[in-house]
Amino acid sequence: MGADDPTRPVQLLTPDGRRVEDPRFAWRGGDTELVTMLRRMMLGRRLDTEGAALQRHGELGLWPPLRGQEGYQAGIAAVIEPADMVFATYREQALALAMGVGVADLLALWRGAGMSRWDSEATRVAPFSIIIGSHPLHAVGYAMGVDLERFGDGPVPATLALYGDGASSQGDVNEALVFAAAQDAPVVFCCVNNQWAISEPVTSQSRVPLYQRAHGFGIPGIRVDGNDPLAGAAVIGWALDRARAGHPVLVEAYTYRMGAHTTSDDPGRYRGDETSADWAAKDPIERLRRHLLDTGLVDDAWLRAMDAELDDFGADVRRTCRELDDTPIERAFDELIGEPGDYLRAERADCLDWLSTAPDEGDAA
Amino acid sequence: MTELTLAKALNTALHAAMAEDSRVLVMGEDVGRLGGVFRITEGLYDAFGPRRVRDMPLAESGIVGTAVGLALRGFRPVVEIQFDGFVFPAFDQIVNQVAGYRARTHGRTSLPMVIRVPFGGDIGAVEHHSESPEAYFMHTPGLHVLSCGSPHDAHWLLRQAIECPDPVILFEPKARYYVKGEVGPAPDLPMTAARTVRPGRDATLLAYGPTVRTCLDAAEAAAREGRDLEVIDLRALAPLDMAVIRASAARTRRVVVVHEARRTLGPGAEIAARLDEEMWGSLDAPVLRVAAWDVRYPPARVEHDYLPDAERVLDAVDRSFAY
Amino acid sequence: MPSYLMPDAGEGLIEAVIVEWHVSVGDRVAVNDDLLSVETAKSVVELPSPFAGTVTRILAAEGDTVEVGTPVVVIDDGSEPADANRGDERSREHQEAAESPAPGTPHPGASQDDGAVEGPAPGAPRYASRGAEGAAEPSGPAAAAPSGPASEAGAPILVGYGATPGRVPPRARRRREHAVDRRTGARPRRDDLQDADAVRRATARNVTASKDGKVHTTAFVEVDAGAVVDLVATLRARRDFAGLHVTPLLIWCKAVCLAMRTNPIINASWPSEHDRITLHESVNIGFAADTPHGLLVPVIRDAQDRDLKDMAAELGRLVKLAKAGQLQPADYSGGTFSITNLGGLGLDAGTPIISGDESAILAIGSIRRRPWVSERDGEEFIEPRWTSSMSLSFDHRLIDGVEAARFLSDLAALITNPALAMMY
Repeated sequence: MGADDPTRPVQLLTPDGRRVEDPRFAWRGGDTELVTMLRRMMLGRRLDTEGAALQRHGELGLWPPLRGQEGYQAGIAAVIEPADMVFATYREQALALAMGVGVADLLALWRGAGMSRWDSEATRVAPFSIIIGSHPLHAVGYAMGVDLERFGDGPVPATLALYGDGASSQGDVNEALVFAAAQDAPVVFCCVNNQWAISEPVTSQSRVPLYQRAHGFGIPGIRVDGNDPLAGAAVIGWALDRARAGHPVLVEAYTYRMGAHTTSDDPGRYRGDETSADWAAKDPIERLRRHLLDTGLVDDAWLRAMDAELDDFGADVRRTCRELDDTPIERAFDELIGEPGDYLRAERADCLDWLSTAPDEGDAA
Repeated sequence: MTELTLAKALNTALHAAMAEDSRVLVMGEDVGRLGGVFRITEGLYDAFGPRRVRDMPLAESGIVGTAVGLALRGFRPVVEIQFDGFVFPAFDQIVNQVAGYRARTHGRTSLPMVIRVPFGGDIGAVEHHSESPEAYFMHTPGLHVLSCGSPHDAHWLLRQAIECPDPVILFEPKARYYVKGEVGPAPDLPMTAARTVRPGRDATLLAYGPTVRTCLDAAEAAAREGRDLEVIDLRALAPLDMAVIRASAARTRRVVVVHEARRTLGPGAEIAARLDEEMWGSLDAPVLRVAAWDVRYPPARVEHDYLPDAERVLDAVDRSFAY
Repeated sequence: MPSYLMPDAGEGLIEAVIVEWHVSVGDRVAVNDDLLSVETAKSVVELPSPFAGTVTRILAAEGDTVEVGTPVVVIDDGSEPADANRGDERSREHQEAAESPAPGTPHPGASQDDGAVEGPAPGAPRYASRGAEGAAEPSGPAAAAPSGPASEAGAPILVGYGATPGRVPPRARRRREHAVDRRTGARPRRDDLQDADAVRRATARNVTASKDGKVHTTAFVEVDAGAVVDLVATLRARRDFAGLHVTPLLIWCKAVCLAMRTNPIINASWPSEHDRITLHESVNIGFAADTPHGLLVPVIRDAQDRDLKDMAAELGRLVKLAKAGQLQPADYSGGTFSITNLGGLGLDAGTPIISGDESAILAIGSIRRRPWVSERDGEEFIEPRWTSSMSLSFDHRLIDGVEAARFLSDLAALITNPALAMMY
C-alpha cells in the first residue's frame, strides 16, 4: 500500500511513534487526551491479559482476547460524547471499560455469572450481541429514533455500531446499511476488520476492501488505521460529527486480532506467525508510548507508576472475578417478561421448590 | 357499539393509538402510501406522515431489528409483516433479540413493540402466504403471542398490545379480515384472557383466530344433534389462559383443540400435554386435535382438504364421545 | 495451601494431556507465570498460575491425561487452608480434595490406566453444586459412593454416551412428596350450566337498562332507630291498629312521604329520551317483597294521602296478595320511588339499583343493638341503642348530591325523632 494507494488507511501516528499529517483528518485533542488514550489502552490490555488468564485459572468459561485492537477503541473513547450511544461487539471491552462499564459487569458475562449486567442508559453501551452482526440493526433503529426526536436543524446525538469483518457478510449488517442509507439515519458504522473471523481470513468474506462496500449502499466509506488511536479519534470523530448532522457513514478500522478468537480457539491451526509478527510491530500501545516518551509528555517515572497501577488493577480484576455472585435461577423467571402468566409462575415455584429440596437418604438407609 | 370489519377494527386501533401517543410508529412494507396490502394501515400515512408511518426497505429482519432500536430509544413501533411466510427472515431478530432483550439486560430494558402478522389460509393464495407459524413463537420465552378472532378483539387486543411494555406478536386471521362485527367502546378482558364465546355442557372446543368461527359453526350443527358444545376463543397463545381452559375442561370433560397450524407440536400439543399433566384422569376422553395435516401447505385449490373445517371438528367430537 | 485444578480451557472439554511442566517442586512462581502446557481436543495451551508462591507438590506427570477439575499442582502461597484467594464454595471443595489424601498416595482424581476415575470430578465448575444444600458430593475418598454403580459393575455405564460418574444421581438424592390427584376421589367438580329463564332474563334486562341509562350514586347515613322501635311497639299495642301490618317499614314509608314534600326532586322521572323532568304529584312507593314466587315489588299508591292506619292496611293487603301470588298489574305498576328492606337479609347497607323510570331507591339496613355515642347534660357516652342505616341510590343526572343529602338528612331526623312529623 503506497502513499497514493486509495486503500491505504488514514494514519496520523506511525508504528514507530512519529506524527504524520493527513490532508483530510487531523488530531484535534490536546496533550492530556493523548496521555489518557495511552492509559486507557494499557488498562484495556491489562484487562484482556487478566481475562485470558482467568479463563485458564478456571474462573471464566470463555474470554475473547482484544490484544492489538486497543488503538481504535481508545480513539473512539476520546471522541464519543455523553449523549451518543454505542452498539459494540464483545471485543470492544477496552472501549466499554473506558466508557464506564464496570469490570465486574464485563467479567460476569464470561464467567456465566450474569448477562449484560451494566446499565446501558447510563454507560451508553448497549448489551453485547453474541449473535454476530445482529446489533447494527438495533443501532440503525436507535438512530432513526434519535432522528424522530429532532427539533430543527441542530445536531443530534450520534449512534455508533461496531461489527467485525466476519459480520460484514451477515444479512442483518447489510440490511442495516441499506436501512441507514435509505432512512438517512444518524449512525456511524465502524467495521473492525481484524483480518480474521475465527479461522476465516477476510478474503473469504469480501473481494473488495470492506470500506468500499459503503459506496454501494450510498454512504461514504473510509478506512482508518485501527492501530492508530489518533487516526481512530480523528476519523471516527469526523464520522460521529457527520452522524450528528444527520447522515450515516462507514468507517473500516483496519487492525489485527493478535490473539485467538476466544480462549477456546487455537490460531496455530490456521495461520502462521509471520503476519502476526508484522502486526506486532504496529502495536497501538507501543507507538503511542514511544511518541509520548519522545515528546516528553510521559517519562519513565510515569510509566513505572502506570505499571504499579496496572498491577493493582490486575489484582483487582482477579479479586472482582472471584467475588462475583452467581445470578440465581429465579431471576431468569423474574427478568423474562412483565406479565409471565400463571403457568410460568407455577413453573418458577416448582423450580425453587426442587432446588430447595435437600437430599435425603432415601432407600439407601 | 360500532359495526366494523376486522380489518377496519385494526385500522381504527392504529389510528387511535397513534393519535393518543406520538411515540407509536407504524413500520413495514407498503404500509405508507398504499396502506398495506390488506389496507390495515390505510389513512395512517395521511394522518401521521411519513416519519411515523414508515415504508421500510424489503427486509423483514431489518424491519424488526430497527424496531428493536426504536423501542430502545423509547418509541413504540408496530411492525407489519406482510404475510405469515415472510416472518422467517426475521426469526433471529424476534427469537434472540426481541424476545431476549429483557432477560439479557436483567430486566432493565423491555421492548414495547408489536409485530402484526396476517396468518392462516383459506384465501386461495400462492405458497408462503397461508402459513400458521404461531407455535414457533409460543416456544420462545419472552413474547406475548396473541390472535384475534373478531373485530372487537382485533381492535382491543391491538390497542392493549401497543400499551404492553413487552413485545407482542399479534396473529391476524387474514381470511376473516372482511367479516363484520360490533366493536365495543372498551376492552372487556385483559389481553391475556381467553373468552368463552359460546357456553356449552358437553364438550369444549378450543380455537383462536380463523378457527373460532369454524368451531361456532360446528357447535351450531352439534346443537341440532343434541350436543351442547362450548367454544372458547383462546386469544392469548402465550401465555395460555389455563384457568379458563381448565375450568371448561373440568365441566365438560371433553376437549378438542382446533387450529390451522400443523398438528405436530402445534398449540394443541401443548394444551393436550398441560391438561394431561394437570387433570390426568379427570377427562372422559383424551384431548383431541383438529389441525392442518403435517404436510406443506398445498396448492390453493385443495386447501379446503388441508384446513380444519366444521365437519372435521364434529368428527373429532364424535370420536371424543366414542370413549 | 491452594491447589490448581485442571481448567476447561475450551468450553466443554473434559480432559487434557499434560505436555510439559514449566515448574518443579520448590520453584517460586508469580501470578500468571506459566505452570504447564497441556493439549486438549482443541488446542495446546499454556496454563498460568492463579497463585504466587512455592510449588510444593506436582500431582500429575507429563503425558498423563487429567480430567478437568482435578488438582495438578499445589502451591504454598503462605495462606491457611481457607485461603481468601480461593474463598468461594467450589474452590474450598477443590482444596479439600487436594488436601485429603495422605502424602504419597495417588490422588483419587489422578488418571488411571483404564481411564476410569473414581469419585466425581469435584472441581469441574459446570458440575459443581449450586448451593450449600445442593447435590454435590463431599469429595473425600468416602464419597466415592455416588459413582458406585459404575465402579461396582466394573465398567462405565452409558458406554459411548460419555459416562460422567459425578452426574449419576447419588442414593441420597433430593426427594419430594408428590401428592397427586387420582381419578377417584379428587375429580374436579363439574360446574353446572343453568338455563336463564324468562324472569331471570327480564331482571337482567331491567337492571342493565337502569345501570346503563342512569348515573347511579349511593349515599349512606346511620341513624338511631330507637324511637321507631318504640313507635312500632306503641302502635301494635293500640286497639285501632290491631291486625294491621305495623313494622318499621311502615314508619319509613310515612317518613319518606313527609320528607318528599320538601324534596320533590327525589320523586321524579327523567326518561333519557325526554328533555323534561317529571315531578310526580303522587308518591307511589314500591317495596321489595321476597315471596315464594320470587322478588316482587308491590306499590303503595298515593302514599302521600294516606294516614298511618290506612297505609298499614294497604301494606298488609299488598304483602298478603304478594305471598299468595295474587297481585294484579295495578298493584305493582306506577311506582315513583322504592324502598328495600335489607334487615330481613341481615345486611347493614347496600347500593340498590333504581328501578324503572324512578330516580331513587332507599335501602334500610338491619335494626340492631349497636354502640352509639349519646350526649346528655353535655356529657358524651357510649350506650347500646337500636340503630340502622339508610342507603339512598339516586340518579345523579337529575338529583344533585346536595339534594340527596338534604332528603336523607330530613328522613334521618324523622326516623330519629318521629315527633318532628308534627312540623309537616
